[in-house]
Amino acid sequence: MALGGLITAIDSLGGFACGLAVLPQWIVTASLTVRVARLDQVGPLGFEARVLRRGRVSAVCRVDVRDEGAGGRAVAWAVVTSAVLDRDDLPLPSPRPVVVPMPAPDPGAPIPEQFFAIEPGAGPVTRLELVDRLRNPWGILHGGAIATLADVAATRSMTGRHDGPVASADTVMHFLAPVRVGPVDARARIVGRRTDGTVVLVSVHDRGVDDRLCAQAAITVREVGPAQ
Amino acid sequence: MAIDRYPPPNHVLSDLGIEIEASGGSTAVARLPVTPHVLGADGAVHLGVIATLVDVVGGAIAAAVLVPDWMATADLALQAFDPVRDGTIEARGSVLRRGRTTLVVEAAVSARPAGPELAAWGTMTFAVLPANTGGRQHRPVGVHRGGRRPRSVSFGGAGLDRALVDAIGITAFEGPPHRADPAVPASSTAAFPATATAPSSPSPTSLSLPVVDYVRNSFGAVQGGMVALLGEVTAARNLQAAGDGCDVRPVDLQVTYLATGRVGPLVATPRAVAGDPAGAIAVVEVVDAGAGDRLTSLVSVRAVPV
Repeated sequence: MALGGLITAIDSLGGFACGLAVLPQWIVTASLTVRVARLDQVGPLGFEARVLRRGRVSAVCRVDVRDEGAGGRAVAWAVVTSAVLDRDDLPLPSPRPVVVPMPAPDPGAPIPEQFFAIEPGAGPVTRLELVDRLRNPWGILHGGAIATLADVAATRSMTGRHDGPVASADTVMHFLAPVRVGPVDARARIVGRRTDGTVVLVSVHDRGVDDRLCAQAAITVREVGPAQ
Repeated sequence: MAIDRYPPPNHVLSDLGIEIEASGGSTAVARLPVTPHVLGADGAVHLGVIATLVDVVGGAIAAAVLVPDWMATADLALQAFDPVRDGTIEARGSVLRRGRTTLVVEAAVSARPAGPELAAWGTMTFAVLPANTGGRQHRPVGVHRGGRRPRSVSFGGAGLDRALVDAIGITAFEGPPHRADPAVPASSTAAFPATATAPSSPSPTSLSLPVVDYVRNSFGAVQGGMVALLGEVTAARNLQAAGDGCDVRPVDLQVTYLATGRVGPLVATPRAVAGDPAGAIAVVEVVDAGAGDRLTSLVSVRAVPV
């Protein structure tokens, strides 16, 4: 699974767990760390979230990801930190226990770049158009869209440096401000290299709000095949 | 610990020889001389030591930016690149975001003298502790009682006379097995399944750190960098064992601070180990054994074979 999709699932489940922990208040994801142990995933992937701490202003949970198609072996691990919002006037969106059936795979589904309205391209800047379907219930760009944009930007930054396949892996992401207007730029720069990959720093800016810095991610991009 | 000055002369931060240049604004620089005592088994500076430096520079910035409020480190992440073996490490910190309840700081870490390449990149989140709730009780790093924040501070202790890991008392934990997280059933914290390069160790090794004044921060709890070091050393030892003795170098470190460790000893136990040919990760839980095995921190480490 591409990192953006992995983070989207982790962010959704982790946010859900933190949200349940702080009821009746609400939360917004502040930061997350993802460690990807294996890229050779079979699927489907199972996600399990556990709340580690519920404080006055934040909640923290861990998410274990296992490959159910490969004997349940661990493929990733994450920590999600959510900030508690001072709002208790919103209705609960679902009765509990919450059960959301897994939809059947859709072979006609668009690829992530298309679904998330990410413009084609290469190089250090990647752009996303903020279309309404990408907004969350707060009206701001969904965290999964930001993660996918950062993922795409990180891998595109490798253009010309490694012409074989690459994949984003370990990620430390901070959500700094909401994305409200767009378009959204993800600007990538390489900050270091080592034997297991290249570390790319991606900053996400809302061009429609004075180019405000809205998120930053440090992503390790791994070469998963020989240069062509 | 009575605080006239933090850190006091007989303190690990003083013995590390850290210097800080703080403008009183949103940036600061901290430096640490590299000695053989801060090197790991692979001959490179411990990630935990770099994390300590990053935490110090971040703390200096946070103390200046948040005044009159105070702060506690909520999380710290570090990605390291070329190993640093000598010279000086320099961390340049700056504010990424100042929010109502949190402050996010980034730090670029370089080796001096060296080329333009970064040695590591760090980010931290600080939780804001409002002054009206008793948050600011101690002076900022390096500031003496009644004094103004100096522009440049050298912690200047006697220096380490042995390996840092030994100086702070990290040893193998000899106590009974503990369940690190009371909220998590034991079955769900079992080690990750075996992999080709990092099979699960049949008997994970726990390490412990005594909670003494030498490693306490200005809140009386174990300094965050020392928690990072404990987690790093625990992860490296267990990843090495899981890899049939293959030497490893920790390259990424992330610490989530959940509660303060005040009683001790702190006991670090790997709860998950997994990997592929590119490297392996270990997730380490740190509990305060003297406080009912309270979970204080979660440390994740990526290591590569060397």
